[in-house]
Amino acid sequence: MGTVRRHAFVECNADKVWAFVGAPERLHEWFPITECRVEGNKRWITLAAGIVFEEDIVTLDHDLRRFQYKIVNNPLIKFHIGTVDVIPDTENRCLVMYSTDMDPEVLALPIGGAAGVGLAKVKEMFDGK
Amino acid sequence: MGRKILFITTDQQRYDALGCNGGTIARTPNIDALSKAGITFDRAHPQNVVCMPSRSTMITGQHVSTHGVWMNGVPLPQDAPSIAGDLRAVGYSTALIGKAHFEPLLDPFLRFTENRLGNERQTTDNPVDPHRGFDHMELSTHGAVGQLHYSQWVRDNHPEAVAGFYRVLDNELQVNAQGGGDTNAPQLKINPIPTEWYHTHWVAQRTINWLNSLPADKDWFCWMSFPDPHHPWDPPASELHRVPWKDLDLPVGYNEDKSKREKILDDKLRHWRGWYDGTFVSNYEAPAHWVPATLTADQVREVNAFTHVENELIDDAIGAVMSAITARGWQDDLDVLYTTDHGEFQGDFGLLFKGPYHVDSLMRLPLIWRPAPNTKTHRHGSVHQLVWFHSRQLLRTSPDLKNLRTPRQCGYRSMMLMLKNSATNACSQNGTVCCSAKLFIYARSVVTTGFAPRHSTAR
Repeated sequence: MGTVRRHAFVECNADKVWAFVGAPERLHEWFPITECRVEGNKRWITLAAGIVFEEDIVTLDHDLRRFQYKIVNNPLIKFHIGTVDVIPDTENRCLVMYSTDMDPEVLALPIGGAAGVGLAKVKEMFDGK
Repeated sequence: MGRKILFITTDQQRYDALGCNGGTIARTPNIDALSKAGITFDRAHPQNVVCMPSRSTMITGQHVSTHGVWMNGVPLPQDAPSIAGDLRAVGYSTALIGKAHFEPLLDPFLRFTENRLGNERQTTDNPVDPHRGFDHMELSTHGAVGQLHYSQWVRDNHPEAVAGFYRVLDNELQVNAQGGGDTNAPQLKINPIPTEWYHTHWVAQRTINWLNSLPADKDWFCWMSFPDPHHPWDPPASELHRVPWKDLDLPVGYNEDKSKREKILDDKLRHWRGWYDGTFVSNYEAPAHWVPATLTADQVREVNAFTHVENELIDDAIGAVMSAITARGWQDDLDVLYTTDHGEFQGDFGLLFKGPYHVDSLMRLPLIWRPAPNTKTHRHGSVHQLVWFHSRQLLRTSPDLKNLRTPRQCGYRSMMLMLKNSATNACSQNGTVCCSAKLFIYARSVVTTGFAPRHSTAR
């Protein structure tokens, strides 16, 4: 099992940030993917290399500000769960965390790298806003 | 006419792979000719024994601890110093053709330019300020998977050849331990691909195409980077007759007596025996599920034979490129540098592949500098021209290169003096010269190569 975690402190109110990153259909606006489509509890994302991941949305908890999803129906991926948390720090500061647990473990690394890019984008979009 | 610089690198090639270095298996007449006409270093060491850190040092001239690429999978920063960028800034056309590997290959998000260029079948991302200073990039790795240009070319033009290559990763996306050939040696496969479609030939042809696109009076710098003889060992089957594996003697470094072989390992630091017995992962680029203690003498022979077939193909390819350069009339203005990024055990100590083991198998590398023949002083002790020193330094003392920017964080003065002195002494001899350029064995790379207890990977 590979487990990776990235985080960023964002100088913005947690609810405001959560309203954005907690919207599953807006993933492509901050995460380095090319397309994103949501139908009910299903999401499909397209990577730049053309790979499409089918995902089950398993948690979307606005009280906890937690989003969790699983990549499913992929012959290569034996296990996956991704978690995005937005945790208030002060009134105008929050911590955004992106965690991935995955088998094959090797795939956790590029997802972790992409999460780092995505969090930098969130920070750029919301810092001081 | 100005200066032309051909920088040739191979991947994972031992010092003794070449005839000019005492090798007795592969025939390498074209490389030997460069050696005979130039300076052959007999003590050149890399800064690290896996690809990305060592290659990052080549392009930047920096220590691993400075450029930060401490292990494969760690990308070289986009704004890192680049010899290509420096030369381009003073008017050179620049190209990198073959294996770059400054950035990770496993990149489904296409975060890295090397993969993105291949995926988009482009040779530059920005003609004004190109990636790492190369006007032209056509990239390859060891087979036909992934995003790089060679993989796309095979898939576009010869899709039937894709499956002929060894499958580098297994179902867990770990380096594959599957055996092949006559002896079931790891990372070895009989590949039916025609020689003309193999990456060694492709790299040479793409190099020739790029050179032929240049005006005659243009100064240029071309890094021609062969992915071989790095594993997997899957050269074209039609070439295997060159080195029949059953005819090979075992390498001197391989002790057939198991108890003596293991006694040698036991006398070394514990990670030697740990990897041999399969209790340590000492290098994530070697098959994680392969245990070196299972290596047989015949497997050593077959791996060596395939390796030397690949070495001969590289030599043939270099011959083709040198002929093309001669046809352009550039041969007298051409500096050629030849080296590799790290070595390979090839059976020494009962091991294959590489890792944090700082012995000659991995650390003593081929390094040849064939100065431009029209540089009249080169045989008489003056190294007052461009010398790119393996994995470490760029020396710029040539009058025509005086406008080059000083590389950032590249302390080259002491090395310059050492090289000048070495070359002065060595060049006082006639014919082939050998300098003992004793560089730094970078003990810290025991750490920076990164080995970890096998149990940490939870399998």
